[in-house]
Parts: sequence; C-alpha cells; structure tokens
Amino acid sequence: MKHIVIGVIMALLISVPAVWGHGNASHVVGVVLTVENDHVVVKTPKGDTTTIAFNLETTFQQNGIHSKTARPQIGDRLAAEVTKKGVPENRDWMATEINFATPKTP
Amino acid sequence: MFRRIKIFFFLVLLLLLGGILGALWFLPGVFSAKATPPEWEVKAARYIRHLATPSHFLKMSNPLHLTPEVLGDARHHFADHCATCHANDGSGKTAMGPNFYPPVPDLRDPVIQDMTDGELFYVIHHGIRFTGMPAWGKGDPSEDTESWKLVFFIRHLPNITPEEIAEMKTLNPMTQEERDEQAALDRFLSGEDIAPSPSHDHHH
Repeated sequence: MKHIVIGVIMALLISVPAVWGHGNASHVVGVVLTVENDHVVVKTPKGDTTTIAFNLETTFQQNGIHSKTARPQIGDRLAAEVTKKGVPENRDWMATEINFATPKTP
Repeated sequence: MFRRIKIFFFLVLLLLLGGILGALWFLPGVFSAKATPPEWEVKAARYIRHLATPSHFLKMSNPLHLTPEVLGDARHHFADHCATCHANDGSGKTAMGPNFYPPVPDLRDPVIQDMTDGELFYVIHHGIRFTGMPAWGKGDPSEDTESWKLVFFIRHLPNITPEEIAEMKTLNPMTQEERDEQAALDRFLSGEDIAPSPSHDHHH
C-alpha cells in the first residue's frame, strides 16, 4: 500500500510541466512557435512544447500594456498566467492572462 | 374612511417589502459582485455621477502646468496608490479590478477621457459612493495638487510607454517574493534566457 501511495505521488510530481506557481496562479513561459485563433504553442526554457488555450476572458498585455486587440506572434516571448480549469480538449493550459513581447533585434 | 385608506396603503407597503425580501431570498446572486452591470445601469450611474458633480468642477481645467516632473510625480503616485485596482496602464485588469461591482473602468476609454479635468479631479478627491473608488482627497480641494497631477497622468494613459510601465512596476506595492517573480518574468520577456526553479523543473 505504501508503495502504491509513493508511486502515485511520484507520478503526479513528474506529470506537471515547467510551471511557476504563486498563490493560486501558475505561470508558463516560452517562445511562441505557433499561433491559432484559440491557442498558442510555446517552447519552454526546458525545451518542451506546451499548448496554451485562450478565450474571450483572457487578457493580453504587450510590453506590459493591456491591449484588447494585440496578439502574440511567432517568435515572441510569452509569459502566461494559467489554470487547469476549463482547459479544452487537446490543450495543456487555459490562460487567464498572456503577457508577450517581441525580442529586440540586436 | 381615512383609517381604511391608511390600512390599505400599509398593507400594500407590507406586500411590497415582502416581495422585495422574497426576491432577495429566492434569487441567488442578487448581491453578488461577480455579476456584470447591464448597459442601462452603467449609463444611468454615470449620468447620475455627472449630475452630482458640482457645476464649477465640471467647468474647471487643470490649474497646474504640465511638466515632465509633474507627470513623473503623478506616475509614481499612481503606481503606489492606484495601480492595485486600476493597473499601471489604467486598464483595470488587476486581480481586484474586474471583481468590483461596478468593475473598475478602463481609464483609457473615451468615456473616461471625455470627462472634464474638473470632473476627473472631483472623482479622485471625493470618491464615488457605492463603488470601490475611495475619496483620496484630504482637506480643501483647492489645496489638493496631488489629485490635479493625477488628472494629467490619466490624460497620458492612452499614450503610456512600455518604459514607463517598467518603471511603475518597481514602485507597485508588492511582497519581495512577488517582486522577484515579476522580475524573473520581465527578464524572460526582455530576451534573457532563464530556467525555472529546479523544484518546478518537470517535463511535460
């Protein structure tokens, strides 16, 4: 029984993606690989890819400024405040807020 | 006869009161702040607030001169006192902003920007009853230069720059943990390659 409990805890620990947490919110950061109407795919600093869904409730910030129209583009750096609540099928996270910035050209 | 009329009106009043209390009891969420105010309520509330503003304030222009120092003071003040609800960019998109009833407005919207200087000042100094907007002004309004400076900043909000936002973030009231986390996110967004904390380093 003890081994089963340990096994379940270990399985839970290794199934969580690269996520930062504070309070009730988690953040996912990465570089945008693809952008669709309802989700983005990002490559995290660890090299993994993760799909972040967004909807009409999701707020967007570009370079720290909230915008109703701006959306991330491929190659942008993105930090999303995410939740597992209301995640659509085939997506990893639902974003409550997406912050993104276009890298400055050297 | 007169006594019967009195009794009749008393009973009507009792029925009305009972109806209201019954509605409050049986209709869940009537007092919830999560509801979105209907459009008519928003317009009516704004109109009433406008009517309640003394006419000499409605006609006032900002008596201060706009200088970079004045705008800087206002930006610092806004970051420290106002951004918790209004957000650094005035959007109202904060943890608390959308959860007030009525929700915190986007200060960049034309409906706010169309208010006169005096009207904006009056709201800052006196607050708005039945909302989350406190009365920040102390003492005589004629001596409240801080609120007039904030009027300049509210006018500036539609043109605020990312650099100003970055400066305001350093002035927002935050715990050290929140500040460190925000700094890490900002470094990543600005192009620095950082790795998440090892305790959260899990593969998907």
